[in-house]
Amino acid sequence: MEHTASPLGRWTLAALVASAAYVLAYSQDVTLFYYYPMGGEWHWRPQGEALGPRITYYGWKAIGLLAGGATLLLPRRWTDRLPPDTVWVGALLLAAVVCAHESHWFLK
Amino acid sequence: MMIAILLLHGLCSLFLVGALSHQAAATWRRAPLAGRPTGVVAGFAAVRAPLYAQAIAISYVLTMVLGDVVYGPYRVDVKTMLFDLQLWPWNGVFEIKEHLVALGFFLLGPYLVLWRVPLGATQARSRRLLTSLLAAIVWYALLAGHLLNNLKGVGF
Repeated sequence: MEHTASPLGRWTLAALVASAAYVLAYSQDVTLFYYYPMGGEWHWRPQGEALGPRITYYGWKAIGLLAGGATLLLPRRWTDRLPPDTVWVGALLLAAVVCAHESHWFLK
Repeated sequence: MMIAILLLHGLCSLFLVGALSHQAAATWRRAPLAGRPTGVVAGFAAVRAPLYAQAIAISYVLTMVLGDVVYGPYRVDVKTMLFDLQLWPWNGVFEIKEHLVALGFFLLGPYLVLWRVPLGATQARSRRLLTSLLAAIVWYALLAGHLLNNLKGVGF
Protein backbone atom coordinates (compact mmCIF):
# COMPACT_ATOMS: atom_id res chain seq x y z
CA MET A 1 0.00 0.00 0.00
CA GLU A 2 1.40 3.42 -0.96
CA HIS A 3 1.31 6.43 1.33
CA THR A 4 0.01 9.83 0.30
CA ALA A 5 0.34 13.41 1.50
CA SER A 6 -2.85 14.59 -0.23
CA PRO A 7 -6.01 15.47 1.76
CA LEU A 8 -7.19 11.94 0.97
CA GLY A 9 -6.03 10.61 4.35
CA ARG A 10 -8.01 13.21 6.26
CA TRP A 11 -11.17 12.68 4.21
CA THR A 12 -10.76 8.92 4.34
CA LEU A 13 -10.56 8.90 8.11
CA ALA A 14 -13.50 11.31 8.37
CA ALA A 15 -15.61 9.13 6.05
CA LEU A 16 -14.77 5.93 7.90
CA VAL A 17 -15.33 7.47 11.34
CA ALA A 18 -18.66 8.89 10.13
CA SER A 19 -19.67 5.52 8.70
CA ALA A 20 -18.56 3.61 11.80
CA ALA A 21 -20.42 6.07 14.05
CA TYR A 22 -23.53 5.65 11.90
CA VAL A 23 -23.32 1.84 12.00
CA LEU A 24 -22.71 1.89 15.75
CA ALA A 25 -25.63 4.28 16.30
CA TYR A 26 -28.14 2.29 14.28
CA SER A 27 -27.01 -1.10 15.56
CA GLN A 28 -27.36 0.14 19.15
CA ASP A 29 -30.55 2.09 18.30
CA VAL A 30 -29.06 5.34 19.58
CA THR A 31 -30.13 8.51 17.81
CA LEU A 32 -29.88 12.27 18.20
CA PHE A 33 -33.52 13.04 17.58
CA TYR A 34 -36.79 11.46 16.51
CA TYR A 35 -39.14 12.43 13.71
CA TYR A 36 -42.81 11.52 13.79
CA PRO A 37 -44.04 11.73 10.18
CA MET A 38 -47.77 11.44 10.93
CA GLY A 39 -47.76 14.68 12.88
CA GLY A 40 -44.62 16.14 11.28
CA GLU A 41 -43.06 16.55 14.76
CA TRP A 42 -39.39 16.48 15.80
CA HIS A 43 -38.43 15.47 19.35
CA TRP A 44 -35.19 14.96 21.26
CA ARG A 45 -36.70 12.07 23.21
CA PRO A 46 -39.03 9.22 22.17
CA GLN A 47 -42.73 9.98 22.52
CA GLY A 48 -45.80 7.86 23.12
CA GLU A 49 -47.45 5.68 20.48
CA ALA A 50 -50.16 8.28 19.91
CA LEU A 51 -47.81 10.14 17.57
CA GLY A 52 -47.52 7.07 15.33
CA PRO A 53 -44.35 5.47 13.97
CA ARG A 54 -41.11 7.34 14.46
CA ILE A 55 -38.05 7.78 12.25
CA THR A 56 -34.58 7.47 13.76
CA TYR A 57 -32.72 7.37 10.44
CA TYR A 58 -32.17 11.12 10.19
CA GLY A 59 -30.67 11.18 13.68
CA TRP A 60 -28.27 8.35 12.81
CA LYS A 61 -27.05 10.27 9.78
CA ALA A 62 -26.63 13.40 11.91
CA ILE A 63 -24.47 11.39 14.33
CA GLY A 64 -22.34 10.22 11.40
CA LEU A 65 -22.00 13.77 10.06
CA LEU A 66 -20.99 15.13 13.47
CA ALA A 67 -18.43 12.36 14.01
CA GLY A 68 -17.00 12.85 10.50
CA GLY A 69 -16.94 16.63 10.91
CA ALA A 70 -15.08 16.34 14.20
CA THR A 71 -12.53 14.03 12.56
CA LEU A 72 -11.83 16.68 9.91
CA LEU A 73 -10.57 18.94 12.72
CA LEU A 74 -7.71 16.55 13.52
CA PRO A 75 -4.23 17.82 12.59
CA ARG A 76 -3.39 16.85 9.03
CA ARG A 77 -0.07 15.29 10.00
CA TRP A 78 -2.00 12.60 11.89
CA THR A 79 -3.71 11.41 8.74
CA ASP A 80 -1.17 12.18 6.00
CA ARG A 81 0.34 8.73 6.05
CA LEU A 82 -2.93 6.82 5.83
CA PRO A 83 -2.66 4.41 2.86
CA PRO A 84 -5.05 5.27 -0.02
CA ASP A 85 -6.44 1.73 0.00
CA THR A 86 -7.83 2.30 3.50
CA VAL A 87 -10.89 4.00 2.03
CA TRP A 88 -12.25 1.12 -0.02
CA VAL A 89 -11.13 -1.60 2.39
CA GLY A 90 -12.85 0.20 5.28
CA ALA A 91 -15.95 0.91 3.20
CA LEU A 92 -16.23 -2.73 2.13
CA LEU A 93 -15.85 -3.92 5.71
CA LEU A 94 -18.56 -1.54 6.96
CA ALA A 95 -20.88 -2.56 4.10
CA ALA A 96 -20.31 -6.20 5.07
CA VAL A 97 -21.13 -5.37 8.71
CA VAL A 98 -24.39 -3.73 7.57
CA CYS A 99 -25.37 -6.74 5.45
CA ALA A 100 -24.52 -9.16 8.27
CA HIS A 101 -26.44 -7.08 10.80
CA GLU A 102 -29.53 -6.98 8.59
CA SER A 103 -29.38 -10.65 7.59
CA HIS A 104 -31.89 -11.56 10.32
CA TRP A 105 -34.71 -10.15 8.16
CA PHE A 106 -34.07 -12.93 5.63
CA LEU A 107 -33.95 -15.70 8.24
CA LYS A 108 -37.32 -15.08 9.96
CA MET B 1 -47.01 16.26 -4.26
CA MET B 2 -45.36 13.19 -2.72
CA ILE B 3 -45.75 11.29 -6.00
CA ALA B 4 -43.97 14.13 -7.82
CA ILE B 5 -41.10 14.00 -5.32
CA LEU B 6 -40.94 10.21 -5.66
CA LEU B 7 -40.76 10.53 -9.45
CA LEU B 8 -38.02 13.16 -9.16
CA HIS B 9 -36.17 10.88 -6.73
CA GLY B 10 -36.41 8.07 -9.28
CA LEU B 11 -35.23 10.26 -12.16
CA CYS B 12 -32.25 11.55 -10.16
CA SER B 13 -31.31 8.00 -9.23
CA LEU B 14 -31.41 6.99 -12.90
CA PHE B 15 -29.02 9.82 -13.77
CA LEU B 16 -26.80 8.79 -10.87
CA VAL B 17 -26.72 5.14 -11.88
CA GLY B 18 -25.86 6.07 -15.46
CA ALA B 19 -23.11 8.53 -14.57
CA LEU B 20 -21.52 6.29 -11.94
CA SER B 21 -21.66 3.25 -14.22
CA HIS B 22 -19.86 5.14 -17.01
CA GLN B 23 -17.29 6.50 -14.57
CA ALA B 24 -16.69 3.12 -12.91
CA ALA B 25 -16.34 1.45 -16.31
CA ALA B 26 -13.77 4.09 -17.30
CA THR B 27 -11.63 3.20 -14.28
CA TRP B 28 -11.44 -0.44 -15.38
CA ARG B 29 -10.27 0.49 -18.91
CA ARG B 30 -6.77 -0.91 -19.44
CA ALA B 31 -5.32 2.00 -21.42
CA PRO B 32 -6.54 5.30 -22.88
CA LEU B 33 -8.09 4.87 -26.30
CA ALA B 34 -5.96 5.94 -29.25
CA GLY B 35 -8.95 6.78 -31.43
CA ARG B 36 -12.71 6.51 -31.40
CA PRO B 37 -14.07 3.47 -29.57
CA THR B 38 -15.08 0.70 -31.94
CA GLY B 39 -17.55 -1.28 -29.82
CA VAL B 40 -20.40 -0.70 -27.40
CA VAL B 41 -18.40 -1.82 -24.36
CA ALA B 42 -15.38 0.32 -25.27
CA GLY B 43 -17.69 3.25 -26.00
CA PHE B 44 -19.44 2.86 -22.64
CA ALA B 45 -16.12 3.26 -20.83
CA ALA B 46 -14.71 5.95 -23.12
CA VAL B 47 -15.82 8.94 -21.07
CA ARG B 48 -13.84 11.77 -19.50
CA ALA B 49 -14.46 10.34 -16.06
CA PRO B 50 -13.05 13.16 -13.89
CA LEU B 51 -15.64 15.56 -15.32
CA TYR B 52 -18.41 13.40 -13.83
CA ALA B 53 -17.25 13.54 -10.20
CA GLN B 54 -18.86 16.78 -9.01
CA ALA B 55 -22.11 16.14 -10.89
CA ILE B 56 -22.25 12.68 -9.34
CA ALA B 57 -21.66 14.01 -5.82
CA ILE B 58 -24.36 16.70 -6.22
CA SER B 59 -26.74 14.19 -7.76
CA TYR B 60 -26.06 11.70 -4.95
CA VAL B 61 -26.89 14.26 -2.28
CA LEU B 62 -29.98 15.46 -4.16
CA THR B 63 -31.24 11.90 -4.69
CA MET B 64 -30.64 11.07 -1.03
CA VAL B 65 -32.39 14.20 0.25
CA LEU B 66 -35.40 13.51 -1.99
CA GLY B 67 -35.38 9.94 -0.66
CA ASP B 68 -35.32 11.31 2.89
CA VAL B 69 -38.41 13.39 2.12
CA VAL B 70 -40.23 10.34 0.74
CA TYR B 71 -39.11 8.27 3.73
CA GLY B 72 -41.75 9.87 6.01
CA PRO B 73 -44.77 8.57 4.07
CA TYR B 74 -42.88 5.33 3.40
CA ARG B 75 -42.47 4.78 7.14
CA VAL B 76 -46.18 5.36 7.74
CA ASP B 77 -47.72 3.56 4.74
CA VAL B 78 -45.29 1.02 3.29
CA LYS B 79 -43.17 -0.11 6.24
CA THR B 80 -46.27 -0.55 8.38
CA MET B 81 -47.77 -2.72 5.65
CA LEU B 82 -44.59 -4.79 5.39
CA PHE B 83 -44.75 -5.42 9.13
CA ASP B 84 -48.48 -6.14 9.14
CA LEU B 85 -48.08 -8.71 6.36
CA GLN B 86 -44.82 -9.99 7.89
CA LEU B 87 -42.91 -9.40 4.65
CA TRP B 88 -39.63 -9.46 6.57
CA PRO B 89 -37.24 -10.04 3.63
CA TRP B 90 -38.67 -7.00 1.85
CA ASN B 91 -38.12 -4.90 4.93
CA GLY B 92 -34.55 -6.24 5.03
CA VAL B 93 -34.07 -5.18 1.42
CA PHE B 94 -35.05 -1.64 2.38
CA GLU B 95 -33.01 -1.55 5.61
CA ILE B 96 -29.87 -2.51 3.69
CA LYS B 97 -30.69 0.14 1.09
CA GLU B 98 -30.99 2.97 3.62
CA HIS B 99 -27.80 1.98 5.44
CA LEU B 100 -25.70 1.53 2.29
CA VAL B 101 -26.93 4.86 0.92
CA ALA B 102 -25.85 6.56 4.17
CA LEU B 103 -22.41 4.91 3.97
CA GLY B 104 -22.11 6.03 0.34
CA PHE B 105 -22.97 9.57 1.39
CA PHE B 106 -20.14 9.62 3.93
CA LEU B 107 -17.75 8.31 1.26
CA LEU B 108 -18.37 11.25 -1.08
CA GLY B 109 -15.56 13.28 0.56
CA PRO B 110 -12.72 10.87 -0.25
CA TYR B 111 -14.40 10.10 -3.58
CA LEU B 112 -14.15 13.77 -4.62
CA VAL B 113 -10.52 13.96 -3.44
CA LEU B 114 -9.65 10.85 -5.44
CA TRP B 115 -11.13 12.40 -8.59
CA ARG B 116 -9.42 15.77 -8.12
CA VAL B 117 -7.50 16.73 -11.28
CA PRO B 118 -4.64 15.99 -11.88
CA LEU B 119 -5.44 12.43 -10.91
CA GLY B 120 -2.91 10.81 -8.59
CA ALA B 121 -1.39 7.78 -10.28
CA THR B 122 -0.73 6.09 -6.93
CA GLN B 123 -4.43 6.35 -6.08
CA ALA B 124 -5.71 4.63 -9.24
CA ARG B 125 -6.70 1.41 -7.47
CA SER B 126 -8.50 3.25 -4.67
CA ARG B 127 -10.28 5.46 -7.22
CA ARG B 128 -11.38 2.41 -9.23
CA LEU B 129 -12.62 0.39 -6.27
CA LEU B 130 -14.31 3.23 -4.40
CA THR B 131 -16.10 4.37 -7.58
CA SER B 132 -17.16 0.80 -8.29
CA LEU B 133 -18.42 0.40 -4.73
CA LEU B 134 -20.47 3.60 -5.03
CA ALA B 135 -21.83 2.38 -8.37
CA ALA B 136 -22.84 -0.92 -6.74
CA ILE B 137 -24.57 0.96 -3.91
CA VAL B 138 -26.63 3.14 -6.25
CA TRP B 139 -27.51 0.16 -8.45
CA TYR B 140 -28.70 -1.75 -5.39
CA ALA B 141 -30.60 1.29 -4.12
CA LEU B 142 -32.33 1.83 -7.46
CA LEU B 143 -33.36 -1.81 -7.84
CA ALA B 144 -34.47 -2.13 -4.20
CA GLY B 145 -36.46 1.10 -4.40
CA HIS B 146 -38.07 0.05 -7.67
CA LEU B 147 -39.06 -3.38 -6.33
CA LEU B 148 -40.46 -1.94 -3.11
CA ASN B 149 -42.39 0.67 -5.06
CA ASN B 150 -43.92 -2.18 -7.06
CA LEU B 151 -44.99 -3.78 -3.79
CA LYS B 152 -46.69 -0.62 -2.55
CA GLY B 153 -46.04 2.84 -3.86
CA VAL B 154 -45.67 5.88 -1.62
CA GLY B 155 -48.50 8.37 -1.99
CA PHE B 156 -51.10 5.91 -3.30
